Amino acid sequence: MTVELIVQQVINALSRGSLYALLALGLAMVYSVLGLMNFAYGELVTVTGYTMWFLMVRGISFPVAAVIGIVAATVVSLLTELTAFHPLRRASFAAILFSSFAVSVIIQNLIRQLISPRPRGIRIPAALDEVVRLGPFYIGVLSLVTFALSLAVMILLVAFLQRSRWGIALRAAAADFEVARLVGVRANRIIALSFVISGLLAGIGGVLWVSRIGGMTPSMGLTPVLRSFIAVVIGGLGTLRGAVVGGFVLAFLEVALHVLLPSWARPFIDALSLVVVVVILYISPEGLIRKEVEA
Amino acid sequence: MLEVQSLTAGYGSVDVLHQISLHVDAGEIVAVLGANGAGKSTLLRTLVGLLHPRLGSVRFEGQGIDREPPENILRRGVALVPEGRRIFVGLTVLENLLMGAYLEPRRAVIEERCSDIYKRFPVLEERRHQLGETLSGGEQQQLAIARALMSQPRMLLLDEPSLGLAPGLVHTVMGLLRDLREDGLTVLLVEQNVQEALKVADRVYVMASGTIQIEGDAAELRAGGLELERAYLGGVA
Repeated sequence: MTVELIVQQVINALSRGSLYALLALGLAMVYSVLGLMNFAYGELVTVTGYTMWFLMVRGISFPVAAVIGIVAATVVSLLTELTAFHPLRRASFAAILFSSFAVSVIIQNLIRQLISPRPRGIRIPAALDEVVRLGPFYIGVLSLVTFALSLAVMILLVAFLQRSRWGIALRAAAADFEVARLVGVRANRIIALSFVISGLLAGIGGVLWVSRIGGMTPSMGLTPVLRSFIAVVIGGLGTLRGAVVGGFVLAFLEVALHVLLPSWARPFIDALSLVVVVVILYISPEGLIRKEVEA
Repeated sequence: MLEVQSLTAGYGSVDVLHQISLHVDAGEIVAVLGANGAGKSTLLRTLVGLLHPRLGSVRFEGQGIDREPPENILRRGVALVPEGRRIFVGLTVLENLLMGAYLEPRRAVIEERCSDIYKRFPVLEERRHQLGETLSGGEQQQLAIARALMSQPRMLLLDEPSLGLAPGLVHTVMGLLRDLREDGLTVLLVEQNVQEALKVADRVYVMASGTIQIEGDAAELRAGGLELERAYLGGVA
């Protein structure tokens, strides 16, 4: 294997990893505050995709459709909290988890009924499909955009969490929800905020996801939520830093398997990456980043 | 200042507190003593609105607060230092303090409170950029109290501040409570450490199995320890 090929694949993995990290952050955000693994999270990616499709077939440009798609994911995320989770605040853990499955099924079937069970496609701007040459390397514009945008969003998120009053309150609520209430943080507001941020991240990740595959199906949310879930579990449940680490680890794993395995074995990449995840958790059951040491 | 009347509260369908009545006057240090499981923490959780009573009432300065959420009770001037210190993990000392002043929107006011806190707790200023959980037990207790003081309360509730501290540090914490009272704060202290609590308190309630067994002056109880011990151990005196 040539050095060029390795560098090429590292770039590929970095791009994919940044997207996984971004999406996993949105899932970890709600989990860290509410303790809920929101399995309707993948449907926020779906909502972004279909919103973009709806607007673009009516002649709206890609960038505008993308922004409105992100807004739609954010609004749906907040509405999910208000309708499906807020009324169950005192209910059992299982009830809330099932509520998230219900939201997922309802959104998928609404799309099947109102739009179509068959795939829909959108035209991705040609510029995103181009390949630029950097010295000996050829890099897809979309990979570059994915990496740059994900990184920028993550830096903004960190700045928000470190510097702003609400950001510090979110971290405090994630560390100790009850004491956060004792110092005056309103429980419902901080939970709503975590869903808004979660929706924003799913929306931005969703635009990049849709740009990668160019189309959408009602059940397309499964892959992103599963990838995010695995990333969050690898990284260590409930820590945001862990979600980022987990996202990159998963992406490098997938790309490495893709490169190293013979072509007949490639259909098993998903299964094999899950095996590696199991091994990681066997060695380090709390994930790679422990909650106690998170800064 | 604080009046609790026939308070019955608990979790689910199980009552932990039965018909608790007590009062704390302005400027007092009142101690609630009792063994593990006597219901002391449940009492404090009910007073600050984390738990709502099934029956009875809690009044602060004449106004009913037993249906209010925690942030409203804090706004009225009642702050709790929770059991086990419960420093926010992953937040620096300064961020922990800032969270204490979460309800105060004015930056200048918050900074002023911080510098007041640093005068009282110089070690917190030294370590302000350190993560809260890296402090020693005694320093964490100072931080927990300082965090509660950042809301500028008029009444401070403390849940077993001596827990897990070396005897010398317990003494320091109790001395601090005396200083705070000098500065106009009213204190309700829940403790298992009877001797230390009796030294600092004006009045004492002894709880066992969710009821008040004894009410009296700390000075009287210091003199006649026998009665106190029997009630403390859960027997009806």
